[in-house]
Amino acid sequence: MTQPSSRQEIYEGLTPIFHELFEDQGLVLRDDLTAKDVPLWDSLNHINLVIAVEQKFRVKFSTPEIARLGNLGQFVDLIAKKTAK
Amino acid sequence: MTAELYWLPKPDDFQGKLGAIKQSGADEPSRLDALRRLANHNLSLSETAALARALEGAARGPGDALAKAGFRGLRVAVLASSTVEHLLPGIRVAALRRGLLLDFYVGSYGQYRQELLNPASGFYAFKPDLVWLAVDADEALMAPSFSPEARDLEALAAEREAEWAVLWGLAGKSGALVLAQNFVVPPLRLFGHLDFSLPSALRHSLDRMNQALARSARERGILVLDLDALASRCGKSQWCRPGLWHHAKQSVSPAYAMLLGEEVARVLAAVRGLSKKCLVLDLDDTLWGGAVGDLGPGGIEIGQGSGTGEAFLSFQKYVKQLARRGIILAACSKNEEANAKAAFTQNPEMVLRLEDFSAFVANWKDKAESLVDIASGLRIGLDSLVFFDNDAMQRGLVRARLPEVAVPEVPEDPSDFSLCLSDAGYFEAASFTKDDLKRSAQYAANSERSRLQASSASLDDFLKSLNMRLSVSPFDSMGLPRIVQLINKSNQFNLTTRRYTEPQVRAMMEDEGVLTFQARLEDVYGDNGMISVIILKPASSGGKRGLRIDTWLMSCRVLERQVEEEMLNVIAARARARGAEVLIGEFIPTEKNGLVREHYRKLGFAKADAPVDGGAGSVWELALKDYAPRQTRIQSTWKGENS
Repeated sequence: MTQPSSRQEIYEGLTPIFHELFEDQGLVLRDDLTAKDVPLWDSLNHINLVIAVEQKFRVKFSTPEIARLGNLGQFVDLIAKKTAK
Repeated sequence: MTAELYWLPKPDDFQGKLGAIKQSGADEPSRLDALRRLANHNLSLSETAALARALEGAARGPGDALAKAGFRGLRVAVLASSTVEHLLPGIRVAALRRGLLLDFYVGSYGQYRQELLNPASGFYAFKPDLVWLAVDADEALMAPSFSPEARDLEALAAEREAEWAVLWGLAGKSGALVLAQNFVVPPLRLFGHLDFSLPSALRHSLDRMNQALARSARERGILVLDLDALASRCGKSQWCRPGLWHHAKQSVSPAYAMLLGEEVARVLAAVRGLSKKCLVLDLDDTLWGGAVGDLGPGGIEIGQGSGTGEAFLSFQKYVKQLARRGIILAACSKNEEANAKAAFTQNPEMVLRLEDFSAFVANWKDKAESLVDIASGLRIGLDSLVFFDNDAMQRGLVRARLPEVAVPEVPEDPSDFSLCLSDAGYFEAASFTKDDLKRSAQYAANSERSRLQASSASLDDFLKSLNMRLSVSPFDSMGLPRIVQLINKSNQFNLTTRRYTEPQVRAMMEDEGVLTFQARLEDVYGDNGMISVIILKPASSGGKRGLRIDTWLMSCRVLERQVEEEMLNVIAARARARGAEVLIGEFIPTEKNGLVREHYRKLGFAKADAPVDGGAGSVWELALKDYAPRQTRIQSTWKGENS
């Protein structure tokens, strides 16, 4: 998947990654989701998540960008910014 | 190279399939079989994580049922100088691809020396089969930063070699095989090109340490993961991202977890004798451009003069090198046989010759059927084959019908064929012995012998005409690598399929009470190399002094040549010289050794009542008092004690 144009497309791309990494097929993604809401979302899996998203959307995140992320909505915004041309 | 395992097909509906497997309620072997099929795809990081989670604990399942279904457990300890937890799912999934179920022990981060030096550590309690010492470049030099004084690199190398000797020695004491890794030279430069030749520069220093490591490892029989080559292949700034090191002490990015897992599993599989043995090649548009049936042997694209012709030529050259290192070649083509062969005999540009192929199948049958013929003709398992065909439909057919056969995706451009096979790593070797070098000649000779057999009036005449000489001796250091290879590779003619690591075999070699035998066979067509290994251990039966046949294996290349009869003559004589009254044989059935089910009955052993510990095996006995040597057409010599 390259250059998704909308937040909805980004959510569609993220869903299988979340389901697979956090072993929760029923997890519904939403803007205010944070690591606290997901049992398997620990620091190790957080890095896995960032790398998996990089591979899926063919983008790259910097260390400060990742450190600033507060919730999923902000992550989606960041992906949208990076994939927009 | 991308982080992907690009030679594997992409999965189709991964989540749906994984979910179905989890809910199917199938027994453990069937569940693992389905997971193994899923593992045979080019999976993403999150897919790999999900699959690995479904596998956790599988190694501790019911051993017998799993072994019957072709799965084996393996205990792997990882002692590392950086964090490695993120790499385990990739290794687990890649091991499953090879039927290996892993149990992991991960030492505390950076504590690898302590784990090895403390006999009460968790590492020793775990009793690993293999230990991976994942020690990074920082540990290679006492002062990794630049200092203007030239380092005394020779002294430093000697110091490191002494330390490795101690650490490897300790790791090996656990009975585990040791897997070291070389140092990844960081891409960061200080002077620039001068870093290469300046002894005080990091680049030059680490190159020197890597050389020392290669030498030490070769001398001590230690396996080394060539991480520096892998990181270069992937791009070092991506392989190790400084940000990930600073935040999480990861010296390999999770992006490469699948690739590194695949590489580690390859080495594990090679040690266990699970590497592929035979490359089966399609012909038209795989070894040359165009269809030889349409264009004629002179019209196909091969050789100098066109880019495409040169691309196929370079692929043929790579394949030829694989054959030279002992990989068996087979051709499998939908063609008239005469047309297919004419390409080899009449086109002078061809690098591969007909003689390079141990099997040549050109007909109009479907290729799954032809592959079965090829495997049975060569007396190897289907799981020893790699099928390389540019036609996607044929690949799909073979994958569906014969899941044991490895079928890589083939790149569009023939210029990329060689690197694809190289990246896919099907033929990973844990060692290379002189016998490997002769393998192609041996298979060629095998078909010669078959021809002679057909022309001989009787089997006895045929065996007589072979003029076979069997030379048997106890294990020695020279033969050790090949002995270990056979113990870990032989599946079919193997009575007990007991696998032993090199340290374990060496211990038996040095144990006075254990009788060991290695045998080589020569005949009119040449040297067959080492073809049989037997280990006898002290035991008793009904109050009689006896020797138990712990291991008896033989290469299938020398089946039906009376080798097993002559080997029995040799071991019976040795056992009697030791004062043994009875030989005790065991047969432990596996998926692959049905061939030797009646081995001991054929050799005149009587079936004993005692069953083998907890299994479906059988125990057999031969009284030595009345044993009369069996008549064979083999002349044997014993080179060892009391000779």
